[in-house]
Amino acid sequence: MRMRAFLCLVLVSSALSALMPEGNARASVRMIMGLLGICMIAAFLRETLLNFL
Amino acid sequence: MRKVFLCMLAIFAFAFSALCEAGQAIDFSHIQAQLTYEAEMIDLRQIFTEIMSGEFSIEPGQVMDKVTGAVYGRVGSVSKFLTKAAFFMLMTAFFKRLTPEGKNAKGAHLAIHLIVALSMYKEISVFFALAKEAIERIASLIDALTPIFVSVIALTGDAHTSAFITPLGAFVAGALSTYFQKGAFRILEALACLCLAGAVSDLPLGKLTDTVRSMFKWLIGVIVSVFLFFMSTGGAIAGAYDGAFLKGLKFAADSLIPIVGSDIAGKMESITGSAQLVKSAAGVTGVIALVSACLMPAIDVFLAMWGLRALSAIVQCVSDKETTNLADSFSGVFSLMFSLILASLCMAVMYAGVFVGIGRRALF
Repeated sequence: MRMRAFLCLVLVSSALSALMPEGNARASVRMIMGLLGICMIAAFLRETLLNFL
Repeated sequence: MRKVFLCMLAIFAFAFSALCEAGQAIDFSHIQAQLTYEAEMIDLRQIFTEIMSGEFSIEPGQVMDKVTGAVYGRVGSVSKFLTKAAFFMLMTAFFKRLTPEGKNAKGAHLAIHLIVALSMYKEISVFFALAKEAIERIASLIDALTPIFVSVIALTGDAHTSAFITPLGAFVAGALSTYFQKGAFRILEALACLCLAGAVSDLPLGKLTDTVRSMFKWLIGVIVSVFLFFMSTGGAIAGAYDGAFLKGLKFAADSLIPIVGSDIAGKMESITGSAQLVKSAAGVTGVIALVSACLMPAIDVFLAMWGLRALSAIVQCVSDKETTNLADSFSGVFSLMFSLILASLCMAVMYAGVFVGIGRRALF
């Protein structure tokens, strides 16, 4: 579920970067999306590890 | 002393009568229930009876014929998936060529790739469910086989092997249901999502995908290694204990009991030999059940893997880079799924192999 959310985030980020013009706004959006993505991946890894332990 | 040996003789006599009924007492209904796969059934009781009567034979040619027949039988269902994948790939190439290059082209291309990728992901999720079901079926079979193995092995006098089989079976079933079903499949689904995102978006996700792939391989490697370590050490020790115990018992009967001692030792040999036959027949039947439980899903996944790989190679000349990469990545996911099914099957078959092969026979 978390990975699907991550997938949606990646796709939204790609769509935004494809549609938005070059500039600070686009870079900021990408940065925010990237940080969210990192948080999601970290949560997924934590959850997977906890499943094993 | 004489009374003790007479008591032992009586116990062996009871064991022999129980042994004669063991073939009938083994209940295959729980195992049989796991083997229904698209209305194809294997009669395990018949196989067991044939092994016991010596009519059963496994020849490499016959096995290859059966596997080839099964592969031909599955081609039809997998080709539907491959046809859809080929259609999606060709449609992407077609639409991409129709869309003129320009400012809005990037968004349109992303939308096309996204539709194709999600459609392929939806098709792949069917195979995920198949593989999950196969592993669940193997775990259930192990759960159903363990009490049969323990009850049959008790007749042969292998008390230590019997005590070793139960935790080993629990470990295999636990590893399959906990680590493989809950852990490995989660990682595999995450990998499929990452492959999809990496192929469609322009974000650099290569390293993350490689890391998740590596996690999956390590997980399988560690679990199989732990299983092999547990099996090789524990199985050998249990077999040695049982061998020493029964060899000592035979020697004592032969040397300490006057006149009939050698007869008793001979009878012990024939009784345990008969029990060995029941044990081996039950073990081989178990192996056949395990292979039958996951043969079809494994063939499906194998055909899908090679089909996608071949498709991406063939369509590459007309298709674009993103779609070809997507097909290649999904083919990689299929190969990991196939390795997961094979690892589960190998663990289960080796578990049944412990039951058939390892024992005190090595010492006789």
